[in-house]
Amino acid sequence: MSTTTTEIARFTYVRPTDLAAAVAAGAAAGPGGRYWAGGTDLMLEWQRKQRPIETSIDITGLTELRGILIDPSEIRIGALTTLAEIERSAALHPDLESLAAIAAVMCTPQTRTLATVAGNLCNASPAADLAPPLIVLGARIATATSDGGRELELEDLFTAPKQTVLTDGELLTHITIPLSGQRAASYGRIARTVVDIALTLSACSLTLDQQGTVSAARIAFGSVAPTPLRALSGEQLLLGKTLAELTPALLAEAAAAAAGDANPIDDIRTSAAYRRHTVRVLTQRALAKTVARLSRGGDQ
Amino acid sequence: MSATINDLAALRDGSKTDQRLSTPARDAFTIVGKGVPVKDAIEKVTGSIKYGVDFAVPHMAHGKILRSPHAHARIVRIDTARAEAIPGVYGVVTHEDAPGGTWENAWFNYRGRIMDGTARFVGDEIAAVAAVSAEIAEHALAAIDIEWEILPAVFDPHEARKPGAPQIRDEGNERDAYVVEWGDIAEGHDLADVLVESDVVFASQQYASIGRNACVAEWMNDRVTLWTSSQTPSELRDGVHEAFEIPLSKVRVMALPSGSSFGSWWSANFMLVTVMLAKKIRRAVKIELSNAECMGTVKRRHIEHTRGRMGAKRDGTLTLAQFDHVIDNGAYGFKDDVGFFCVDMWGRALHGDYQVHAVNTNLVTAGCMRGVGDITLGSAVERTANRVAAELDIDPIEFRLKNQIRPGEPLRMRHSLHNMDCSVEEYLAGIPEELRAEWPELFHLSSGSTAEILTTGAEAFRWSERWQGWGKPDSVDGPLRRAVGVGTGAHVCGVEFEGSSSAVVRINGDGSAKVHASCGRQGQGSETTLSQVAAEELGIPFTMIEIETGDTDSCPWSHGSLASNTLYRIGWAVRAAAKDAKRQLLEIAGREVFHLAPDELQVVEGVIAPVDGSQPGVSVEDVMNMLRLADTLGQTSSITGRPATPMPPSTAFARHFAAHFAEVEVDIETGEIRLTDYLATQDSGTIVNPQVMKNQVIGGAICGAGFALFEELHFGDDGRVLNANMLDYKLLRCADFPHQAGVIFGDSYDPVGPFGARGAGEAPMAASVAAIQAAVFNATGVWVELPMTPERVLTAMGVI
Ligand SMILES: Cc1cc2nc3c(=O)[nH]c(=O)nc-3n(C[C@H](O)[C@H](O)[C@H](O)COP(=O)(O)OP(=O)(O)OC[C@H]3O[C@@H](n4cnc5c(N)ncnc54)[C@H](O)[C@@H]3O)c2cc1C
Repeated sequence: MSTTTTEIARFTYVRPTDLAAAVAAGAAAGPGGRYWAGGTDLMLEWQRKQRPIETSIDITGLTELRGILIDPSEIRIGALTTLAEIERSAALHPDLESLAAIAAVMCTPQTRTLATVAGNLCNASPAADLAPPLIVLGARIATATSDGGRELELEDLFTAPKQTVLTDGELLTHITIPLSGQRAASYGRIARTVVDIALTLSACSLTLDQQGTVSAARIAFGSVAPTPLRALSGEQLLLGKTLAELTPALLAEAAAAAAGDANPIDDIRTSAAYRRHTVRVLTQRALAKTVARLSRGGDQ
Repeated sequence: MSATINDLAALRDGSKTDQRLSTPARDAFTIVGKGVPVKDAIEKVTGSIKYGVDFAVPHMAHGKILRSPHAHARIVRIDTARAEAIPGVYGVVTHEDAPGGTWENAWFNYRGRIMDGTARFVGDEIAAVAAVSAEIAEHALAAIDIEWEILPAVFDPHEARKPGAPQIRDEGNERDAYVVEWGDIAEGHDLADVLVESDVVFASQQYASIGRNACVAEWMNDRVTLWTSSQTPSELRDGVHEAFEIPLSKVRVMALPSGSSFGSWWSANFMLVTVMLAKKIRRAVKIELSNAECMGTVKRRHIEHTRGRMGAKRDGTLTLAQFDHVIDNGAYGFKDDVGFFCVDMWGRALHGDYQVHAVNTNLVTAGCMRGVGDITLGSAVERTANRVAAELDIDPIEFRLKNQIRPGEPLRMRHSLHNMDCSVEEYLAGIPEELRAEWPELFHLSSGSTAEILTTGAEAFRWSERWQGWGKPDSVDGPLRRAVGVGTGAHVCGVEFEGSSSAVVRINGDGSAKVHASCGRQGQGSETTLSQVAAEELGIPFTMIEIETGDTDSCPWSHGSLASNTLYRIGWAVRAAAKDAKRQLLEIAGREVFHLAPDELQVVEGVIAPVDGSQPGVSVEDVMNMLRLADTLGQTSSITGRPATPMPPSTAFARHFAAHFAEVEVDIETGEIRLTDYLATQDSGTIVNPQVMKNQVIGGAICGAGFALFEELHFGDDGRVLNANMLDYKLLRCADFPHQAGVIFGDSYDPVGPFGARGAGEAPMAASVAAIQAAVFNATGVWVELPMTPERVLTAMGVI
């Protein structure tokens, strides 16, 4: 029995060596094309036949998409920067601290050496751990296509579980975190065991202006809605306040308001009620931690 | 050295209970008690060990199984023509090809035909395809056309007991109740100053073994050989014999290591499907299961429901233990009990009544998993006992010391009596005197208990300092509450019900020896500990001993590795076989070389010499070679030893015990539980290998902790397993368990087991669940249902 005509799940494998070739391959592949970064999500999807892959475009060779660049106005994170690299970046900049802390509890050490930042975002899981902490840092993403590219707010990337606004062949090239004012960020995350996706996740950031009042407040959640979610209701209560005015009572009120934005579901991991309750607890704790950080910063 | 070898006889001169060997004699062991590295460590870390999935034979086909999409349905018509026509397909089997025999997994973990045209759970084996590749076989499954008659299904064991419930099996859904009773329950009620009622439901735990499994089967004319990972090679051979109705002599099982198994890989129907497929296509076939198949279609722990009560006098004397326990057997389980040794453990209760009702449902088959009965019913009893102690404000350790069994006291579980048609005394009168002399008093605990380990454990854990009383944390830091808890567990050390485990020891011409003992290699280290037992008995160096565990053509029948059996019962057989081989060796050496009686000789480090040192020693190799090369009449090239008698019926006297101490930290706002400190103590008689035992004890504690905290199979409304994957079936990782966890061993000496050893594997699981649940109670003041997920913690506390 040497040849068969049986159909078996196979895909075409392409390995472009530069960005232009990659987006050209992406355009040529159309809807069946998928970029292969760390492959840690894609491989499972393929094995479980969740979404057909006709063309796999291996972008791991695009070295220009790797690494973290910091200049006075922004932090720029290449799409192919791995979770392990984020984990090791804490000392580079205070804004990277909270990201590094979260990267360190994601996946397993082996997976973190493969998994990329862009993969985590483009996979668009409601539980993607990097999304809420990047959203609260005001992250923007840049993309490339065969006829150009665009920039957008990270929070506008997600449309539904596993779905983004990216068009066929559109490649995320880097993420930028704009730097302004005195900012601190924290997060809280509940998972079942040391290796688990989040049952609930809350991240927040507070930015102080020259006068020491809150000029920007951001709260974002994971695992409590079909997409990573910005919780605007809580933020309003914090704007314009001084550190002294950010009392535990106010933080509790803001956390409760923020939790009201959550739209969780029951699933086999846990219940909606548990998610709604804990996202409030986590937000309150993250806010308290953030205020504490800012207060310490003020002393220096 | 020979003193140690004869210690058994010396022990029997003493009282029949709580026999202890003085420490000097135990010190005289040469290899028993040493933490030698496990024999297969290098094979494992270099990847050269072969598990079922790694195994292949030349020219084999690849098989895939078609599984039922329905929980209960009958095949009206099945057409395989389209599948068979696909290029690359060798053949298809359906129930129309299935042999007529009903086969059974050990202790009715499975009972049924390989296929019979009815699907009884979602995932049940319906047909199988063999092809040149697994991909083609899988593709061809979709080309099998089936017309189904959908039957009503039942998933709840209570529903399945009701008259008019859908009938899943010809034998009916419910087995006869399994009952253990003593005393008079009404009197137990009357005597009680406090009475506590319990109603506890246990979700099904999945074995979730990290390794998958595969089976390769190949027929040669009318003989068949199977290669698969199995803990029970002999039982699997029996199953093939039963299903295909062919002589046992025509079935050879070559069992491979399974890695962590916990009871998952005994015999499984997919192995018999492989045999059927190979027979039909006249070619070797391999069926390799996916992880989803391993977790969703083979076996799982029963869903269990305990209701009952315990009562006690004000001084803490238990007057009553009364429990009614329902288990679901799933589709093909056929058990009537779950081997719940908590009954013996708390057997001092003045009056007792335990009933188990086992019921089939249209869920995937349920069977024995490590700690069967003990982490369910047993932990419910622990919890009820704790609540009694709490009402009386008695320390849990004191309560256990007062109410748990000690050597010489009656065992309440009397399985063995079920099939006896005479009294125990009449039965014993019929046993030959020399055999009976070896038997401890039946239905009484022969040795070991929780008493010593509870006491030494409490001291090492600083229990009295840390324990603040029932429902009281020992530290509060914002939302974080820390508290300690203790739990105990007991289990048998193997059972004799399906036959006597045997073994063979062969001394080779070069002075090395090979042990043939059918058992599993699931990481429990039996290849190492059984070799240590043989080396100790033979006086041949450990490095000269190797063991065959999987080949049923060379290993005599044994139960395999289940019921905490291996070291105790198979170890007993290995020692008896080694003794027999050594006796033959010394007879030859005495006659041909030393001109002394065998009992005037000993073997030490591979050298035979007179005990009194009157002549220089001669190596085993030289003795063997002398006989082979010299022109003597006493020729021999190898010596084969085997046990001359069956082992005493150990279910009737032997148990092993565990007492665990846990500290937890509970976040009362999020419900998260962290294990912050842990001490496991274990009474398993002599510890043959402390490294292996530590691994067993901590492994059991982690597996129990998983059941306590997260592990739970979820079923859909249609009976389908919803989390047959490692993403949503949460196992604890090493990092979820305290790194500094301690292990302490008790010091008892078993009168029957090899060199004083008993079983080990299951009590640790039971103790761990109970300890963690009690610690969470002390931290939060509420009893949280299992598994104690963060959500259940908050629910129990009334937060959500
Ligand atoms: C054991 C294990 C544990 C895990 N634990 C966690 C966890 O704790 N938290 C968590 O959030 N995730 C977890 N994950 C998921 C996964 O590892 C992460 O989401 C990871 O960051 C994905 O990155 P990747 O590079 O592997 O993506 P890939 O699998 O390569 O890609 C994922 C998706 O993104 C697309 N994509 C990738 N790069 C680009 C790009 N530059 N432009 C456009 N589209 C792109 C791909 O086409 C694909 O659809 C875990 C996975 C595993 C296997």
